[in-house]
Amino acid sequence: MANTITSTGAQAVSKQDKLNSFKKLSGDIGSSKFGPRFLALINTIAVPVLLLILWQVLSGSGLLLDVILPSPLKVVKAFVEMVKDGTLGTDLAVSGKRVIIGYLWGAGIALILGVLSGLNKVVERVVSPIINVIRQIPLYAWMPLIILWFGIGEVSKEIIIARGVLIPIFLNTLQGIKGVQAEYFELAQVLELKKSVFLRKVVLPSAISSIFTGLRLGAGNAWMAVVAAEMLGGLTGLGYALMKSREFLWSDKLIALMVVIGVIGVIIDVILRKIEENTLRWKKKTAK
Amino acid sequence: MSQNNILEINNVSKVFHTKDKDVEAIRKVDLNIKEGEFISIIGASGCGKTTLLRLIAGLEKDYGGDILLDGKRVEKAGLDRGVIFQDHRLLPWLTVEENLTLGLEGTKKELHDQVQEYLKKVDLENFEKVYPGQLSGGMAQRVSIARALMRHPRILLLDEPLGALDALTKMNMQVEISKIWEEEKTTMLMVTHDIDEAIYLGDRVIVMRPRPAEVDEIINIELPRPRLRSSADFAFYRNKIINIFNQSIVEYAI
Repeated sequence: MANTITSTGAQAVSKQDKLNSFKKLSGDIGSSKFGPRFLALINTIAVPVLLLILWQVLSGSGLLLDVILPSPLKVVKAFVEMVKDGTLGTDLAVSGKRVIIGYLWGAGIALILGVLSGLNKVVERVVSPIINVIRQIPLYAWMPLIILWFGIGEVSKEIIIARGVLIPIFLNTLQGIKGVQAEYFELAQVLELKKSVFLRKVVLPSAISSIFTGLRLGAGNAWMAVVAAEMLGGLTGLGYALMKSREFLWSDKLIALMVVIGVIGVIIDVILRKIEENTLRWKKKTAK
Repeated sequence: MSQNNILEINNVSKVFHTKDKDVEAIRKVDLNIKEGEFISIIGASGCGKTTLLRLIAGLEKDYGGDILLDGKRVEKAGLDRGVIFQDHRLLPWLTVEENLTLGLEGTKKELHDQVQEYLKKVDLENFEKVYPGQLSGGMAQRVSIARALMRHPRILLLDEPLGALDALTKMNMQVEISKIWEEEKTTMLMVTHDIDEAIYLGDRVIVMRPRPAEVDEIINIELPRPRLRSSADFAFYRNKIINIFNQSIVEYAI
């Protein structure tokens, strides 16, 4: 801004005037009728609402078959029906349980390996290359082998989820721990901190932001992995429901399920964010 | 060792080995510090004075000669030496109280009482629940001093403790440190590049010449406390030290 003002005087002044009048205008809107929060909400939902309208127009125009693009209303009806007959609840519970078990295993292993690797060079030299190789093989490429070994039961689904969770949590934990400043290691020497105190009070808090990033990425992966795993085999869960809907050409149910999956993913992320904010209270208090 | 020397630095040298060459940081430094003394070490930035302090703190290892604390050779860091870094080095996620008691053992009540006692000493009563990020630079450095004193060190090592503060805060902090030193009677060794600060606080000012660090001159500051920065005597010492520096600048220029 400062540059434009100094470079081309007159033009810049007029730009500044425009900017001011624009600010004034938007300020008027903000103060007279709607609050700033309302405006922010409008910004966020404008595009989705437009897409929804477009969807309604397209599906109602007769250009597309109902089975290709059912109307939004039909999708809502399908959703209500799934809630009423209990299938959605059952599928959700089954998938949710798998995600939780797989996530806890994956996150647990990743945290332990990540912390140990971050603190100890020998462990890192052993673990990091292995994780790196595992990482290069896509999750979907693991599935056939896992199914071959463990069948299409619960265990293989949980392993697939754990594998999806492992990588981001391990990498972010490792990065967080290794990012602990050298100055803190000096402080620990000067204060003769015990290893356990140093780990709890210095290393982990220092790495916690990074660890939470990993936990959130991992949660997203877990939710995606469960759907993928269920689409490959089994007779329950959201992934299976998706495949069944496709086979029976229940496109309204299919879209409703996709929306449910998306919304739950967002909810999981929001919950983890809240937990993170709570853990990092000091950051909020000291933000200037 | 003589009876009242708390710290003896005998013929101490330090060489840093880097990939392509060896860098001599300190050459044959001798210095004895008496119990209860305040020693200022002054020298140009990067002259190796901080390295000397870090050797005493035990944060640098493998040195030539001997650093004896109460007659025992310093090999590693420990609670018998308090260290004040240039940054306050408080943990931002712990409250002032948690920072002060970090690693200390004792009942909640004992620790709480100690926190109260030492916060009072540094004029920060009622700040125990505050996070370091909510404190000003000078306040944070005072908490850091309280943290060191709470561990009852034999000697307090201050590494350019006020280097990051503005001029006014700096002067207030010098008064504060002087007050704490007189009350606590803790032996203190401070590294600084501020001539006034060195004179204001030190019983003796050790002037070091740079690369490698050597003791150039030791000046006894015979001024009553509290000292007056504006007095003629203060100016005498200031000029004396400035002249030493000018001298060495000339020498190095040739």
